[in-house]
Amino acid sequence: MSWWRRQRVALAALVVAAVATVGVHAWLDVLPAMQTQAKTMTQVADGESVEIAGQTMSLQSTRWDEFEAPAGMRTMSVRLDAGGGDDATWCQAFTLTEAEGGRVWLDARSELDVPFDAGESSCREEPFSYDILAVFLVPEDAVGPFHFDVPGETSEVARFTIEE
Amino acid sequence: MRRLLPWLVGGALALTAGIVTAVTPGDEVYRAPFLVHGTGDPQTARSNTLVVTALEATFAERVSVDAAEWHADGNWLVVTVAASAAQTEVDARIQLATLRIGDRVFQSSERPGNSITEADLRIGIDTVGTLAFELPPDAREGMGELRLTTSYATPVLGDVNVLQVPLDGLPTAENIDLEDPTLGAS
Repeated sequence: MSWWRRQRVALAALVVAAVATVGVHAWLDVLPAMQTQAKTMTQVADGESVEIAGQTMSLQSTRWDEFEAPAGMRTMSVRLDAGGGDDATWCQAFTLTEAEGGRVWLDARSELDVPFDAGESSCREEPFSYDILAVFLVPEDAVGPFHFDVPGETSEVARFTIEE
Repeated sequence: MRRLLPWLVGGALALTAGIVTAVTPGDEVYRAPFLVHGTGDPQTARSNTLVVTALEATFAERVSVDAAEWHADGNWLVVTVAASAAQTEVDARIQLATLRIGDRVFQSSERPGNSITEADLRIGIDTVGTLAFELPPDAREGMGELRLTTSYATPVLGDVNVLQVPLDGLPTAENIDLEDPTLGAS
């Protein structure tokens, strides 16, 4: 009787254990990682519009120091034209990211003296045109370019580049 | 001798295994947070997520929030801190603030309702606010260690800002009215 034949039970158990190990690893580690949706980034060219969250958006203007900021800080106002269709949905929080350096800011309207009717602070779920105004409070040492990101309801993100 | 040798080798292997087991760090070491200790005067601790400075510490027999018509008596330690986000404002909030005194760990009170843990932190500008710890009557001396993190729980392999708060000789106020966190007030 050959060695392989004598050890067939142990070898079969080894194969089963190896398959089980690979299967459990795939089940508990690999599949959950694959199911985490990667963001789909759409870079919006200058003057172009983008479809996101069921609506069309385009960059209307950007402006420094429109609102009073604490010492050592500046404000960056970002205005968008937005128009929703019947399938318009909400979007997640807008962010401003330093292209070099990677610092990430959130809208700071609640900290600043921004009139409530100056523009919407997020996407509207209704089918009409409106303006969006996001105001970021950034340190004076922050220099552009910046990325202004509009994350949709799911994994889609529209990215406008602000060269300032 | 030949019969003794296997026993000696076996014993040596068992002893080696015991030593290796004894000196191998436990799981808690692999999962422990990185403690970022404060330096300077006043102490400032800069981690990847949080920049925080301990400005002042005072015992109080009563803390109050006048705007909410709330007060509570006890042995309170009120620590004023200035905090900002290090790299991102997304989820930048002190979610967990604890005070270690010896072996005891106290979590900052949520009762006042206007603690700095309620404030969204900004990059490059401090938010100044308070942390109030409701302590047992005997916790009034020794070295306190303030541990702050932007995680809800002690992070696994994440940063925790650590600031020393010497309790000996701290003043005691009859009442401290806790003010809301203020942006850019330091």
